[in-house]
Amino acid sequence: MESVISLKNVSKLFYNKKDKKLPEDRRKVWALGGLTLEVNRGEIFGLLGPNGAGKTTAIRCIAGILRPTSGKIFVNGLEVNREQAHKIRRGIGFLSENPGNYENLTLLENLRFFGSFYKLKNLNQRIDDVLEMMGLLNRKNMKAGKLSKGQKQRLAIARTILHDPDILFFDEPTAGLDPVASVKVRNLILRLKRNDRTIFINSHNLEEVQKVCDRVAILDLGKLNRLGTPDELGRQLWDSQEIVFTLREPVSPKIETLLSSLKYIKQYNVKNNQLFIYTEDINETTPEIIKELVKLDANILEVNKTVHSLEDIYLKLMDEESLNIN
Amino acid sequence: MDFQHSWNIYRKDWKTSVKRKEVLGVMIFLPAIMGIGMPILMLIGILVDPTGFLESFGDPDLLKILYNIPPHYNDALAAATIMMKMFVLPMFLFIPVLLPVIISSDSFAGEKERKTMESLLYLPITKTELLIGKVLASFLPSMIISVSIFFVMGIVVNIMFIPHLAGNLLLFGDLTAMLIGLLMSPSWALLNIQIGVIISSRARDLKSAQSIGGALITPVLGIFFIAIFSPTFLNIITVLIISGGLLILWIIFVYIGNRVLDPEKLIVLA
Repeated sequence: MESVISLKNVSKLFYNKKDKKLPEDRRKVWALGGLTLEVNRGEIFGLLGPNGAGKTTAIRCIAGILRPTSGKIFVNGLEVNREQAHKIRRGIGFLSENPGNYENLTLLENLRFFGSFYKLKNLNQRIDDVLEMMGLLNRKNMKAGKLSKGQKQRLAIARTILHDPDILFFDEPTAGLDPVASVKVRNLILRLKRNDRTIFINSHNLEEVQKVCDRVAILDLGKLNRLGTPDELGRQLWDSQEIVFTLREPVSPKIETLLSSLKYIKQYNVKNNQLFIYTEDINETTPEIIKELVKLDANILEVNKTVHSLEDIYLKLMDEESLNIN
Repeated sequence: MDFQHSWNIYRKDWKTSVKRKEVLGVMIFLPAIMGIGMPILMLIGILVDPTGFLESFGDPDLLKILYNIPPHYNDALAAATIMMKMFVLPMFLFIPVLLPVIISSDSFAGEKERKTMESLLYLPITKTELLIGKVLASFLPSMIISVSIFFVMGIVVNIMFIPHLAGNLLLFGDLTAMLIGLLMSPSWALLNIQIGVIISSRARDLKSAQSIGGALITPVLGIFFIAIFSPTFLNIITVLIISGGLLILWIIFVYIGNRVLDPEKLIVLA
């Protein structure tokens, strides 16, 4: 896998110069504290964390707007520094938390302005294409300020993808969008991934992140708390996973004896015709258990795997963190 | 350095400014009243009673000597020339400095207030390109308006005084006036804009940027009153010296601007 974004031990200190009454240690805020991570080409990478975790600071450092206090950042092999930051930004699309559109300019004027920095061959055609993609073509000559909140967000997304960048940063991409528009944006993100684009998503919408992201990093107080696929994170946090078998008949003692003998089963519970089985890796053990049950002539009506959602993972991590703080 | 990037910033800023009616109104009507309306009213008064105008300042002959009026000028032409030097020329010093305050104070503070600063900083531009674009956005419109008004006023005054001109030209025939209109005013405007843009980049909001930017006009007001009360103050030499000094100061502030413009501060304060 080729890494396109690489953060090496990146720290960012904000120093409050104005409030001189604050004690020295409280005037220093570490927004990032030695963050190291790599994002691969063609990957959708989710950055999660509570407010103030350092997600936006990380994106701003990658864009070269904020200078890290220490550490190095590389994008497409180029080090992000004062001399190269603007060159690196040519191949990146940024969607910031605020839509950032010019409200008294029309949609066309907004996109012409932003597109004019990328030397696009057929800018007008490209503007029509992205407006069409975002369902805004019929509002092309309307002032951006007259759009609804969701439409403003869609215009901002159109601006972000206008120059067809290799790397995209989406900060809360579906904020303010209705469910239909949210699905469209999700599909757009997945389509961009199919075209080998690398996408970095910063979001509080865990369901959305789970649906689109290949890997996620969870930040807390500027530090990397967890990194991996949602499945990997689930396995890191829970030592066993649950499978529920529903049988036609109540669970027989024969079946219970079998379950006790299977070494990969950590624990099981029986409730009438339902079996609750806990194993380390449900993907590997489920077919095995089914085979064994069929051998004992058990009539299996239903098998349900309990997969820990990203929300479960996130909440568990945040709970642990608050316990650590307390 | 890609000048096209600065030009794109300028065009966007100008477009957003002209779409704000209050800005466009101030940019056009204020200089039109100050540079054309008020002088025309005074010139009408001169045409009606030129001798009265000259006598209102005391000894007319002394006044003509002080303002270096050629002896063959009749009273109307002499009074119009004095009036140009006394009120109109300082006005053309004042207008190009006053106008950019409206746009330059908005340059960065307005972007912060309207929450567009971040999308601007994510563009593939250098801070120098951004700074130049912002300076151009204030300088070009102000100069176009000021120079247009200067020429409109020149044409109007010459038409009004056709019967008295006798081969002479008012305003356009005066090298000092031309230097003030085309060199000193732009230099002053440039310096003022440069400082205004720097202030705007450091200000927390538009109001504070405007009030600090407005205070920058004070030295110009000083020159304005010196010019009114000291007839010989604005001559070719003083105009050249002041213009040169202003341009040197502008170059110093370009350097300072580049040093102090910090995207980090723009975004953190936004």
